[in-house]
Amino acid sequence: MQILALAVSLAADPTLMYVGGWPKDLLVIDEANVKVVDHIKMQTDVPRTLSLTSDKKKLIAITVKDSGIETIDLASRKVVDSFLLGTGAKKVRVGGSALDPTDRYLYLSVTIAEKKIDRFDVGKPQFAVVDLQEKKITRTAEMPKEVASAGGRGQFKVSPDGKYLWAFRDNIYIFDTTDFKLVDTIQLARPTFPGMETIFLSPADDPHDAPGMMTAIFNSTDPVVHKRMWGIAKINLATKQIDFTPVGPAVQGMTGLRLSPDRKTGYTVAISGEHGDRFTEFLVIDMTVPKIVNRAAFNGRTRFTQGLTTDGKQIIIYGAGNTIEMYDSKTLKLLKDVDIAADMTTSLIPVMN
Amino acid sequence: MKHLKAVNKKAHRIEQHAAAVHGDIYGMQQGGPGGAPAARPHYPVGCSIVFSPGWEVDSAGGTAGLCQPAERDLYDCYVTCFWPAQVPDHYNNYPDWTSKCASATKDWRNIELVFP
Repeated sequence: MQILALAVSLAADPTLMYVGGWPKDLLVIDEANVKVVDHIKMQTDVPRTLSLTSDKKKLIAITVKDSGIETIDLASRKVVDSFLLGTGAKKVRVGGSALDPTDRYLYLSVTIAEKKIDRFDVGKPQFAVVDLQEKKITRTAEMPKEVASAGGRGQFKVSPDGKYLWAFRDNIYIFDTTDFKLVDTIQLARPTFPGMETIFLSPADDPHDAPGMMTAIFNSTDPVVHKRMWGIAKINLATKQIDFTPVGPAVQGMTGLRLSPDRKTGYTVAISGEHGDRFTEFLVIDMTVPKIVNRAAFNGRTRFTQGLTTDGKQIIIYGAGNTIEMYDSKTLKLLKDVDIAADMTTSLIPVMN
Repeated sequence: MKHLKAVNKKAHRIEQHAAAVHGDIYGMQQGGPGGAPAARPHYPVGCSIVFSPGWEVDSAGGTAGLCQPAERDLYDCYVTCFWPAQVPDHYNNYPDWTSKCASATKDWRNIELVFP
């Protein structure tokens, strides 16, 4: 009877995935059969960034036009709060974002352009703190030029205690969230780590990562023969400790790393060649060593994002466009190619019920 | 077409200086004046040289590096590049130009016509 009740419960509460889609939707997808089960209508515009709150009950979406901030309650599948950072004459362009552990503050890099009578005054990229309760930017601070390049675009992370904002650029810059003073710089361009002369980090936002940790792909060269290599970086956002483990010779490009729920296996895609000679290949990594334990070529689309289902059994290839490809994470064979009838605009976020 | 003509000595000198710096019209695969041919085509204004929706080329000057079909890429001219030139200006004047078209590959006929 208990088994039956559990089965009914699981049937009633499927694991759902969320992804932004045109024109102004948040698509709710049943992970088991990759079927769109609902459309949540956004209030302000098309979503570009989704952040899952720490209790996994809400999504914070940043929309494009006028930089709207919307809070979506996942249980009721409704937008429960929305406001704009920009106005008609004040354009706020968001370059990067990170939600703090309390889920109240959203740290952004923004560039503000104000429409004057005869011109736009475009400001420099700066830090901005959005108070989601007060529904406005409550603090701004100057952004150092090393972080402000490319309009302040790039990955941000907040430490588990909320005290530090990590900015991943050519080096890692760590700021105090109270005054945005630079408190630490971890050199990647001229690293002090043994056996490496430069490091390029590809940070990802993996839901299966341990709390307070970031596991990422890095590329580096050795200081003797300058041979390029890639490997696994494990970054402790609380203690600032970083471990780099080389895995193999570098390839032209790699997608972000995705970890299985037990974090023993990692999945990434290696991309080599370009245009007509482009070659895409799944790499399965035993994270305990780490080393490549399986690989298989597949027909990778020109531009895509890689994800993983909550149970780690299927690799998801999605965006740009309207189709989601599901691959078996063991056999690396294509299982299905699903048309969700909307071009995707955000990362796909699976949420276990 | 040149709309301005130098009429005095100083203007002529400026014109000559500008020509020396920037060169004349040259083929996009030739590199700059006097320089070695560029390894790749030179596209002065980004991923496209014409203001025609959906028309763009990859970094090698072809289309093999674009999304296939190319309509997959259409909305990213706006979302990722913040570049309204290739598509209607979603930010300011035409925020609903795609309101009837969720998937450009399938429903491109529903994209709103815009006459600036």
